[in-house]
Amino acid sequence: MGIMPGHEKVEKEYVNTKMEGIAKREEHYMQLLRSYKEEIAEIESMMREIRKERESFYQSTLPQIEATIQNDKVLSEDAKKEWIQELRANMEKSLRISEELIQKYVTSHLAEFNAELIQAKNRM
Amino acid sequence: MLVNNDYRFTVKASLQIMREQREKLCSDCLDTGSGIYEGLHELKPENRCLYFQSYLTEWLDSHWECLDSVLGRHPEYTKDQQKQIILFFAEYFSKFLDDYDSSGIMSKLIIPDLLKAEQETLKDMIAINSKWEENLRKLKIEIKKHEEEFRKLISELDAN
Repeated sequence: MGIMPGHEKVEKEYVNTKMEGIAKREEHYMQLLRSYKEEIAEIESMMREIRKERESFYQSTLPQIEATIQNDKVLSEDAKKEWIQELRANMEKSLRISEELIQKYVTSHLAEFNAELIQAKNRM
Repeated sequence: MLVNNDYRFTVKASLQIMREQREKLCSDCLDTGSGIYEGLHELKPENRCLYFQSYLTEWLDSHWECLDSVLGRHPEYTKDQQKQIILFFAEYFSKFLDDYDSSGIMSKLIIPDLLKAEQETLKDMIAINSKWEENLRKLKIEIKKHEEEFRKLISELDAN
């Protein structure tokens, strides 16, 4: 069955309008991304710093502390073990809270970003 | 409510406080003259526990001193902005204290309810935020009390 000539025109116009809409939306999305570029970079740098700090703690600071404590021959093994365990637990707790803080920052930005996106979509 | 820049400042300041305190914890572990070593050199587990608890309580409380000094460096913040920053930090700090009573050295506190009282004050501060200043004062008094109580217990131990 062939398409009626009038119908073909309407369909073409519909496709064009739809394409224009998508293009506009994409453009706006890119604009939004550009305006949030600084925040995205900031969040990335916060996360990178935490990762680096945790890595540096386990790879260099903790072994250094363990060596200092181990070198003290007067100390009991129980005391050394107890404190090292406590130190690790406190460091991990503190790092986790920092990660939660960053997560909260990301979530609030995402909410703001989504709200702007919805607003832009509604304007079109 | 915090506007964007204030919110960014709040998150960054909180992250800075946590990082500075982690650095302090690590450097105190390397300083053989710190309270940690007084505990490490105790042979009796209960005495050791007292020194460790005293150090950790002081360390936890110093997060608030750090917040004070951060706010002191920013006099441009209005009272309302300061309130929001303090309440934000209180929320995270309360989470930080959350499982101290379930494991580790702080789970069997020599001064019972020490952290519980602090958490209650923090919860009141967050819940009734119109009374935040009153609760902040209460928190600072509790911090002073911690110092005094531990000092007393340690001097009693030294005297024996």
